[in-house]
Amino acid sequence: MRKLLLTFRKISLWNRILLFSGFGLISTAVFAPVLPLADPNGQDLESSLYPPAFLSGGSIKHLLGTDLLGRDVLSRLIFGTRLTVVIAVSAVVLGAVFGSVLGVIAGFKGGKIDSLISRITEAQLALPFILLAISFIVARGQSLGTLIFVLALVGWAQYVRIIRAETLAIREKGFVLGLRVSGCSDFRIIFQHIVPNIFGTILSLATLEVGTMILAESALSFLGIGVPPPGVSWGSDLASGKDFITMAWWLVTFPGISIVLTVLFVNTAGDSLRSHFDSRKRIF
Amino acid sequence: MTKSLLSINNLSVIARSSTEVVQAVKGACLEIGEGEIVGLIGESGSGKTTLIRSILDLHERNVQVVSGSMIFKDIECYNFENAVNTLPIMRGKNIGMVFQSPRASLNPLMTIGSQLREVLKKHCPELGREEIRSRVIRVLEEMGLDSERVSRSYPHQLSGGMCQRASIAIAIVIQPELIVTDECTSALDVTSQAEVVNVLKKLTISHQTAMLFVTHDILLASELCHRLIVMQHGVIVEGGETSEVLANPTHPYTRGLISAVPRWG
Amino acid sequence: MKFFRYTLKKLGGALITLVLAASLAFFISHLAGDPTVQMLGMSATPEQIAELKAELGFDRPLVVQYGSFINELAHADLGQSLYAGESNFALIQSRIWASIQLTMVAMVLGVVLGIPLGVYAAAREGRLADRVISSLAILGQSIPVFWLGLMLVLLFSITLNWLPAGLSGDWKNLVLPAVTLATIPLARVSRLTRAAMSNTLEDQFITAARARGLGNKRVLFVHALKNASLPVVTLIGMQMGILLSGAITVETVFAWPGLGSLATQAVRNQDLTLVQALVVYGAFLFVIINLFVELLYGVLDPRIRDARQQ
Repeated sequence: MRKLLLTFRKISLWNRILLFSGFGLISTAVFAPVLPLADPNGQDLESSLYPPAFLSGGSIKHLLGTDLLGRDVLSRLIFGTRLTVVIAVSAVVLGAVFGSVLGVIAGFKGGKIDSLISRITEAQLALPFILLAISFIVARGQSLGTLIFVLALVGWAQYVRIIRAETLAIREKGFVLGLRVSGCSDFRIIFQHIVPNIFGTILSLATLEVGTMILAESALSFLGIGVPPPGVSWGSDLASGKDFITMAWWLVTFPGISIVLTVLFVNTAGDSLRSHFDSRKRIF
Repeated sequence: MTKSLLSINNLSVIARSSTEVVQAVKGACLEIGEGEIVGLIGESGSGKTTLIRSILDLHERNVQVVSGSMIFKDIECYNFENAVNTLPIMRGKNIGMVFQSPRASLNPLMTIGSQLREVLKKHCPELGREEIRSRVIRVLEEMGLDSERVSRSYPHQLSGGMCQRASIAIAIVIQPELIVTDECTSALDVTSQAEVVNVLKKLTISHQTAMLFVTHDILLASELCHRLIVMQHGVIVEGGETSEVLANPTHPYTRGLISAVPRWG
Repeated sequence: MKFFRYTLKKLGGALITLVLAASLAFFISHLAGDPTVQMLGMSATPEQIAELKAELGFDRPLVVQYGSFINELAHADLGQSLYAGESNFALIQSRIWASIQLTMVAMVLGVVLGIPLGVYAAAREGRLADRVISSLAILGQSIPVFWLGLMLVLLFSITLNWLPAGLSGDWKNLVLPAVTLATIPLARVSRLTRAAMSNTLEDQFITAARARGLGNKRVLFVHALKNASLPVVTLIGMQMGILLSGAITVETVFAWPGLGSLATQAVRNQDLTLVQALVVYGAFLFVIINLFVELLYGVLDPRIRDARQQ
């Protein structure tokens, strides 16, 4: 316990703010069902299109207003966090693992395998993300799993190039050559020496990607091929809200702000994490 | 007694890092006569680079002059206390500089020829195209370089020694009165070093250019320079005619430098 | 001569990437499974499914399907739209100009504004202007572009009534969607330019240029910018893919009659072949633009041309 407090003291004020906000964000998402919120999918056609409470016509019951079906906007905002976080993190983990594995293989083995992997990665990067996602989802049908898979599909290529370069650099270091000469198996070299050193890089890349995934998921949901109902997603809320933009501006404004704040938070937290890792990068 | 070209008086410079303030140069006094080759010797950290950067007023953001004055050709060109500073105008025109890393000081995206022409156009705007062309050819030939080939080449296409000679060419093409060289041979192999030193020697004779030759290699300096100045920890500890300093060094640091040089036989 | 060889090499690479990309697209969409069930719905009988499958050629072995796919590709045939029955290629061609217009204007806006902003931020490094520009750029990369479009419509069309939201047929239509889309390259280009300039300004040849007495403006724009622009040029090529994806959502917001709305229509109509055709076409655009960027890079940086020789 004491060690924890001591470590806490070392963190700068700014990072402490980030840490608390992150904690708050995650707990809101986790505890959403027990909070005193309206059912995000609860339709109440009599309370359709209420403006936010601070405007005329609004009501305290619905602080940020309601949509066409009478569903509470604030509640949908908070519940939207759950799926957003789960989808983004899952997609990032999936993509990162797949891409890094390929990157390590390409960098370590070199030669033909490397060329093959590099060519395929380049080809993948040439494919426009949304169109690829559309083609996959249209063929397979909308589902959460499909969504996560598609997002991972779009993200894996970024890791390959960078991890490959890092692996190459480490492989060329004297001590690795020494290990290979002395008969150490490739497997062991990779797991004991290469992976610990590239882990920081992978983490840095991954934190950058989470923000991108959130934006990508909201774009797909906006186009109607993202989170399937009854899942709550800010992107699909924007899609349904857009038809009422002239009379119910709150339906379009608040979900968007949620997206921006979440992505900003993730990016800033990622930046801090990145600089923390950069300073103690080479461990060997 | 040669006429004084540049005299520096009581120059002090500090360098700030995130944690402390360091005195890079303390009360330095220096004189260079017309056509004289003066060697400035010291190890890295001695303040010699900071000193010569002061001559061109080319400091990095965290480096500041805190006192001192300079006189060039009998006119005061710098005075910290009275806020006099005409050094930026003299850069390139009256005082030229050659840096340590041969390729790093050349723009990788421009040919040697265009970098030469650029300098000429800036400082000698009255020259016509033909005149500029002939000057470029002449100065490259003087450096022992194939002018046709080199003027059309990019830095990465030339060897280190050739790049360094090209840099010297760019520094002298407008015929400044003083050239400052910052360890300009340290990054070269022995053969290229000899080429560059040769070229520098000929320069001072043919153009009467004065030179401040900065190096950590006292042997090299003694080959080339009329006078030697030794610097340690930001302070000038010794100065005098080359032969005098080598024969009778007064300061223990100088003695150490001389005795550290391996001798034949 | 050197440049010719460089061009050929890059052309070859581009072709390989294109074929690989198209193949990848093929396998990914077929990995997704059998679309006939999707198309016919839950109540379809096995006979109906089998019939549709045979009609569309989905019952052939995968290798054979792939073979005919590549064959058609070589003849610039992207198949037929499942919904409209027309040639996909023709459908795409009819919409592409609108998308190119939008994307080009957005890209130009982004670059023309982004580079000077980046240069200015680098020149004022650490000071207020730099911080403001950098923060705005980070904000720009955190905003979903389609939401920005909606907000701009809310502000400029609905509230202020300065610009039309719907299509009115003249250039005023282009303003909002182009400005919205332009934020994508604007944010990235200004950030990268700033970083590249900042790095370049620390290089020794910049100090050397100043030591030669060259003026500040010349040093900044001729020496520093030329060198710093190299990574920015590469970025512009890579931006195309992202811009294309962004354009799809933006076109949806503004009902812009380009490829984006074609794609949304295809989604609504479960038009699998059209979507696949769009993917391949998108890859084609990306590869072409990247090819130009690589050639441009070879023109700007003599080191790259010579690198092949060794």
